Amino acid sequence: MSCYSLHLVLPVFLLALFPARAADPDTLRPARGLEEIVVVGKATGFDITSPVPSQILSGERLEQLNSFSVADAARYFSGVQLKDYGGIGGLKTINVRDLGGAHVALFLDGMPVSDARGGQVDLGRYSLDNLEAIELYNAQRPTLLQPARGFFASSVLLLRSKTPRLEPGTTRHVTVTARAGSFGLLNPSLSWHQGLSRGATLSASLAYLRADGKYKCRYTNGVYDTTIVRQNGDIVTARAELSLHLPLSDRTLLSLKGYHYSSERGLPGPVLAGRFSNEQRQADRSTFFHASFRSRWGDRHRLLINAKYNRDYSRYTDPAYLVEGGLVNTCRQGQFYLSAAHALLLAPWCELSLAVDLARDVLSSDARDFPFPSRHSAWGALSVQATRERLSVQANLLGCLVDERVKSGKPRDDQRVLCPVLSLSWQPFDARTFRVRAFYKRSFRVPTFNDLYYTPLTPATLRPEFTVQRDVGVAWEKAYAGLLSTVAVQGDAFYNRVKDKIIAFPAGNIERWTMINLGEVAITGSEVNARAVLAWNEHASVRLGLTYTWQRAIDLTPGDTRGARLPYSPAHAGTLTAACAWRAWHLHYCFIYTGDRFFQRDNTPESREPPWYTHDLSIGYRRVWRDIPFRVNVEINNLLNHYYDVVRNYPMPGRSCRVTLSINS
Amino acid sequence: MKQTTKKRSPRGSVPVLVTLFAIALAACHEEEAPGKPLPFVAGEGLFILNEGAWHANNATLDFWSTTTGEYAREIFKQVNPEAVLGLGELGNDIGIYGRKLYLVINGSDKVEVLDASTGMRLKTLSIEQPRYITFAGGHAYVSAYGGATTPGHGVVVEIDTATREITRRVEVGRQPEELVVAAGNLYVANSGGLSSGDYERTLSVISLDRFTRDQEIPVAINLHLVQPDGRGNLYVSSRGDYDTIPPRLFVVEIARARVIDSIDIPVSRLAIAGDTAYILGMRYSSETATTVHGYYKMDTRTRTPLAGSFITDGSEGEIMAPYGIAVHPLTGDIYVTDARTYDVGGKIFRFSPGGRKLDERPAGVVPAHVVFKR
Repeated sequence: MSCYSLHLVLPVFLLALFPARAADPDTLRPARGLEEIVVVGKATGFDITSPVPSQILSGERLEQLNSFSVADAARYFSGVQLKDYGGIGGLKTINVRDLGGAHVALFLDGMPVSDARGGQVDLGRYSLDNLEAIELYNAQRPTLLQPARGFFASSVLLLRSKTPRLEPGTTRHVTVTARAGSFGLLNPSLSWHQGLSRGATLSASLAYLRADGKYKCRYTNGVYDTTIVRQNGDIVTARAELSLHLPLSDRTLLSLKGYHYSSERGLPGPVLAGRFSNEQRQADRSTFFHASFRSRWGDRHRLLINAKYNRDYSRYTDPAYLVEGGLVNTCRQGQFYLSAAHALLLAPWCELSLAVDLARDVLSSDARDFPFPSRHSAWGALSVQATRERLSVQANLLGCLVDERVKSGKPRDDQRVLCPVLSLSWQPFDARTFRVRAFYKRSFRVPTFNDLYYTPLTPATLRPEFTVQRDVGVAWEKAYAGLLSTVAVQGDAFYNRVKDKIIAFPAGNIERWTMINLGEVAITGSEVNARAVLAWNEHASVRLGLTYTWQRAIDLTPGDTRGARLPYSPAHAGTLTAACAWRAWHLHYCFIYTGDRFFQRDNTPESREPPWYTHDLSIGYRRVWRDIPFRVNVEINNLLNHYYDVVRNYPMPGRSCRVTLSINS
Repeated sequence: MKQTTKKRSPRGSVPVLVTLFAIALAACHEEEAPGKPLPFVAGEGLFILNEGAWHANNATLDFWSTTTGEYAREIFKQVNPEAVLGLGELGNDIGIYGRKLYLVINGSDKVEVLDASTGMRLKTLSIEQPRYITFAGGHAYVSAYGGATTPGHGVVVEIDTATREITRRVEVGRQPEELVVAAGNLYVANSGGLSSGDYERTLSVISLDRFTRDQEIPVAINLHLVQPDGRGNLYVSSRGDYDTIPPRLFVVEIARARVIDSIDIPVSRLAIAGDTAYILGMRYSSETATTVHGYYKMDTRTRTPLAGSFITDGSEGEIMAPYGIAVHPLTGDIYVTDARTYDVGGKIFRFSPGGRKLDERPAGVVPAHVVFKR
């Protein structure tokens, strides 16, 4: 435990970039107090009273990042490792504190976005255009009123769509954005908020994207020096969203949303000796309808009901597969989701809540001998939160039932799980600027459809994969009157375990694999997050941000690799950002560093991947021209043209640029 | 003939590791020296081709000297640093003919021809998804999944070993695997392994004169290995369907072109030396999710399995996933490679003809194919 205590000292956190200006009541409490209150100022990026570490990117900070998708933006969070297969269409998933990508739950507008088949959602498909905020919580969101599923994750990545905020006296707000750049990128988008009678708003958002995905990458060992132009990385996507916000009364809000996304892309594959390109392609379509009802009655009751229907389709083709006609595989997923949460204020200092979710997932495919699995799950979370002057404590009890069915073949065992969570935040001194927090959480993920059915040899008894998280942290934030207007620091130390990790294991032969609960991992680490704002006057300011993560993820699975570092787990990772604003101009610089890591479980010297780092720069200008506000942004990413792989043999792009023009009316 | 192999000791392996580490570091600093020949590769020993893991581009070539006992990892990379991205993706077979060493690299669509005494690259032949190699009469024959005009079918490619050029090619069944020359013909095991439920079930017979497919000998589904027993028969293995039909060994009489015997051994690898067939076998039970590995031995004169394991000192417990087997033609020593969990460095073990463990070395990822150099 010596490492644990040593690194406990390191964490220092950072917070606010912008001073208490963040307390703009309109932005914090939209829809007349019906929305949950976002205590965090949009500029500070975290909430020091949260019992769990939270990091938030929103508003200007989100706009100015050199980021294209949610995956790019998530790199700025501490504790996050992005797994990026490169290019605009390459799969991008995140792993928080080395617990594994399937333990991160993605929420879009308060509802889970899940993939029952693979367990991980491609974050590359979520563009930042229509997002207001991206929030990362370790353990869970501290709010009591949320779907039960929100408590069932080891960490939560939450995306908030832009909500209509019409200026007084206007009934319409339209934003047109055009973006173009390297890799043949062309990306126009439109968002339209229309005010209707009785405070209702209708919003539409449309986006189109195309890119040829061609970029140079270079491999050298000092003797050979080969530059390759990445092929078959082209992509076309289209997204359409329509939503209606309908206040039924002062205390009741109904939201309806329809969403459609489709994409067609090449899968460039790994770069291998003698084979630099591939011919596989994939088409995806995803559609959902989401209705949300939020109400408050009396002084004590709050209610949140959500219903969602989701359909996904994907089609994979491999013309080079050596059977007649090549390989074509289509797959459809459907999900019904119903969630109800009720929070009851027992006393001014104590609130109780119960959330229950019911879901039905089905998967079908034209693959041979496909079992057509379906899954009924029920998730329940009973929570209590007590808030005293200086101490707030939240306890949750989570229970889950999963019923597995198949149309053909061997059924799998049903799952029943109970998990406790305890989190607290404590203000030890009179000063409100310093708080201590801690949480303990036992969580799990159920085996995915792929885990259960991809290989017929997988035993019926595959169990959920568990994580245990222990975290202690401090947060400090202070505003000053001078040049240094705000300083904020937060730091956490953690010790995590992954138990019964589901891993692929050869069933005696390289052609026969089975999934078993064999893996075990111990992760010790700490994170530091620091921010400072220097403001000369209202026209000139510099915001500085620093994140640093130290992790030691050790494989405890019995066998040859016991004691080795987990693949793709760097010991050190960090970011440094500087945002300078001067009148209508802004300049944003960012440095991202990921230390060396091994791609193979046994950490051989040849499996070591060298560190990678990128320098990104952007310059923006905004002004009003003939009553029309517009904004221009020029980004240069990977300024030093550093060639690297995040995933071995999947090269990342070198230097690239993007220009964005956006007009409001 | 007494072997002068050095006992495995930490001291023995340290310089190798240090060298490798230095090379790995040098690679990172882009200062790798041009290829240096490794003197001991000139002597007797065995080459080990490590398949590498899928999409990891880490097929590697090792050499284990039987005269000095030294074991060198990654000699292809050391001797041929100019080879772009190294040896490549999925090494599937190795062969030696004359003074040349042939490496069949399935995922990189190539066959590397090396000087067997130095490891220096002489030529790279481009063949789509090559699988196995055999030699006869100044030619090399390579089976390959790709390159046929009939969709889904495979080919056999003929290479002139003097000019190192491809001379002829002939279409065979789907996904051809091992091949062997016997009685003036080439026998190719067709698998159809990419179409589960619709496997191939024949050996294709190709006359070497005309290089045409003359005959199909029905054997069993999903054929894999084919090796001669020196008594006019071919030992042919079927991989089964990985479900209800287990792997099995068949004996085909060359003269009558038909199956004359079938032996209930779940064969995964086979090596025939003298009158003995050494077989790695594997039975998997899905009820208990356990795998039982077998180290079978068979008398090719009577075609009956001999009782017991060919490992006799109980050391088979050290082997996690036996994957490759080779028997030294002179000493009779048995070499077994261990793929461990298929994603980490493997091992190679040496056993005496009596089945006693003599030695072991750490190898690359999925050590699989072994050839002796004398």
